[in-house]
Amino acid sequence: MAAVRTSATVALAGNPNAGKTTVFNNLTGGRQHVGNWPGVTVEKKEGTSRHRDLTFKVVDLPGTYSLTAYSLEEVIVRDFISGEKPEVVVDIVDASNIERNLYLTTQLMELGVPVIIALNMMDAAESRGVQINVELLSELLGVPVVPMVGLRNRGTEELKDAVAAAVGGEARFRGIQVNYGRELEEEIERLQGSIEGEGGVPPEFLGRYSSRWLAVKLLEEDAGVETDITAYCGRDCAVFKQFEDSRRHLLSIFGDDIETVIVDMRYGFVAGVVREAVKRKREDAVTTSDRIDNVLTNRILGFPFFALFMWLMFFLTFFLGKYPMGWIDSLVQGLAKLVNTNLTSPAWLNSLLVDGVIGGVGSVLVFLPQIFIIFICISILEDTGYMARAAFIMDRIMHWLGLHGKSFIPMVMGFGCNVPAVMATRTLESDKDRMITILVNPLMSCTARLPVYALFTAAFFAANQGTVTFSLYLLGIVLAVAMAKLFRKFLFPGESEPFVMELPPYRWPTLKGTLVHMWDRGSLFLRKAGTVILAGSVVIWLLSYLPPGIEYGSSGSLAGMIGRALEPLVAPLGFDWRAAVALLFGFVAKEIVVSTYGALFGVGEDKAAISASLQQVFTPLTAYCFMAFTLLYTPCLATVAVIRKETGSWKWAAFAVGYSLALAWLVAFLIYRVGLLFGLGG
Amino acid sequence: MLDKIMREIENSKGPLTTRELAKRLDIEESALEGMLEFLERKGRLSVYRPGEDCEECGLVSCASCVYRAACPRSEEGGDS
Repeated sequence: MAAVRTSATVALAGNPNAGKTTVFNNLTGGRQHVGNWPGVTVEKKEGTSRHRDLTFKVVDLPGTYSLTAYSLEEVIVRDFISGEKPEVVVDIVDASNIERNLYLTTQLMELGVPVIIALNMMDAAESRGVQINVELLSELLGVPVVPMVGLRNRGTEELKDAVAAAVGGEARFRGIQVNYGRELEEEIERLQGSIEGEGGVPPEFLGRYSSRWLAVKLLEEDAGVETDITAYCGRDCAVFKQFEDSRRHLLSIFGDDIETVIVDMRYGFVAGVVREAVKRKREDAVTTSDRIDNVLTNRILGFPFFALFMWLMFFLTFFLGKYPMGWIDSLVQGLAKLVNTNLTSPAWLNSLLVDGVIGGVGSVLVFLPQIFIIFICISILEDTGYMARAAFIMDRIMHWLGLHGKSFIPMVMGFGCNVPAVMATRTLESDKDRMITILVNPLMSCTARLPVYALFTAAFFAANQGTVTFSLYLLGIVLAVAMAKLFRKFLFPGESEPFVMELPPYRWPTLKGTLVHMWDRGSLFLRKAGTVILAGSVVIWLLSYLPPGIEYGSSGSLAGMIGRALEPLVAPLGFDWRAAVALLFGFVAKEIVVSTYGALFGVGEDKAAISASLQQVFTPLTAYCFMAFTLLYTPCLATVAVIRKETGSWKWAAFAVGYSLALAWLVAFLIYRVGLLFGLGG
Repeated sequence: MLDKIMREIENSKGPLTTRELAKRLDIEESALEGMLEFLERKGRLSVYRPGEDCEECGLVSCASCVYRAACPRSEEGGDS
């Protein structure tokens, strides 16, 4: 008669978040200690548990989804099970996600160790309408199954009973193996033969693993197993010769890599088991997010809603922004007057402070409220989860372009700033997709263009500021899409890989979160006003002031000379020399376009005065052309630098500057000429 | 099963969410995630998971995580 065992080792395996730690605590109580797995920093927890006459050591293995050699955790789990040979492996399965969890179960059973399934979170499964026939599941898998609710300590005693029965040899383990189909099974058998046969794997290694498991892993091209077998019998041994034959044969049959075929078979096996033993109530699956998505991501309604939200964003930006903008304008004007009347410094210093510094920075700073409001709107759209939907809606267009759906995500980010948006293209796996997305990203209208739109729409389209700005954003999107299509066709031909998206549930944005995001982003604009824009304003002042004695900002100034030299290039678009200068300095940062006009008109920060002066040199048609040109022409200096960095080539950075400049000119020219044809020139 | 996923995605006229795909294939969404991860590792498709790289920023959507990490953030980068 065999001696009754009084001690045993039990390993707890399972997917992450399956409730493994809770079950471990229930089994061991306070009798546990925490350390690390040898040589690594992955936490190892051990404890002891008693049940009747049996004392067993419980080892909590790291949570894993499978037993490949791709992650450290997976290697730890399989090495422990094969090396330490625990008497029982308890596989903690989340009953509410049973189909995913059983994938690991199939692999544990393949290792050839006694497995007990602890079917945890049964309450969560039931509340989700998932009904599991526990007996049938046990029958289909050939292992004991114990239903549990770990959080309420339900099923712990039954699990201990099952472990004790397994250790005492009373439990039945049929250990159903996945059937991989005739062709694969034949090759697995051949490989098993070579592993066990002469010149194969030595017995001490075979003692750790079953030959079937080794054969399957070899066919999966598991790096860990290949290395281990090579260490034992060398690369020229019979095992690898057979492996090469089997591999060649299977590739000729399946035409796909063998790992995919094996994984597919395992999922098929799990799906079959679930189909038999699990019933789901489908009607409970519709959530509030689903209902909202039925409308907002609807194939027909999705675009109008996207356009409506965008329009609303710009309407609110200008409608709400005009009041605080007026206050800041008065404040800056007051400061300029104060300095002008009280400063007894030389005329040039007075002009530098009033026209250059206060005028230049102040003319941009008055648009701060609009910047903050637009960031509030963007924050709300993203915090609710809508921005992810925007990318989802746009994916249809991107797909039609042959571009990756992910490409729209950095493009959406471009509404904030093109610099991080270009960097975000790193998330695209395809180099071609990445290049296209980088090149078209600057066409997405960032917030730096907003002061230009705000200034010009206030001067020429006061009644429709939001709508006109919205049309410019839309123009940017349309042209980005068109250019992407062209680049795909002529520069980077190819197909994009299929794309699936996880949509987060809708959430209510919090006031604190929205304000924090607004400040994070808006404060960068403030910082920029105190650095780049300030420096740019001083340079423009200098060019407008010199040579000495010239009328400030006149065509005889250095700025005027530069502008007149460039004027022939912009004259066909209806622009004068001042526009050429403003656009030239706008290359540093687009906001500088506004401060340049302040300087060239010699009216500094006075927004009303700039507007009045603009009306002298622009018509509504040319004003719109100028805004379109500002939207499209060369990315700012920071964006060009980041394009160079991300593409690793000045060639592509220069191309981005060149093509966008040509595009801006062409589009502005077309708008101007078509507008003239329709009599809109006056 | 994996072939069915690829076929369903390739035959789809528009973009697909994992939820929609799970419904069409009548499989558990979490099981589908496992399969998609495998196919992604094999380079057969890609999955966009909003916010997966920027947990620390606390935003629901990474899509417009304009100035935040990975959604990479650059201090030197200003607005363009």
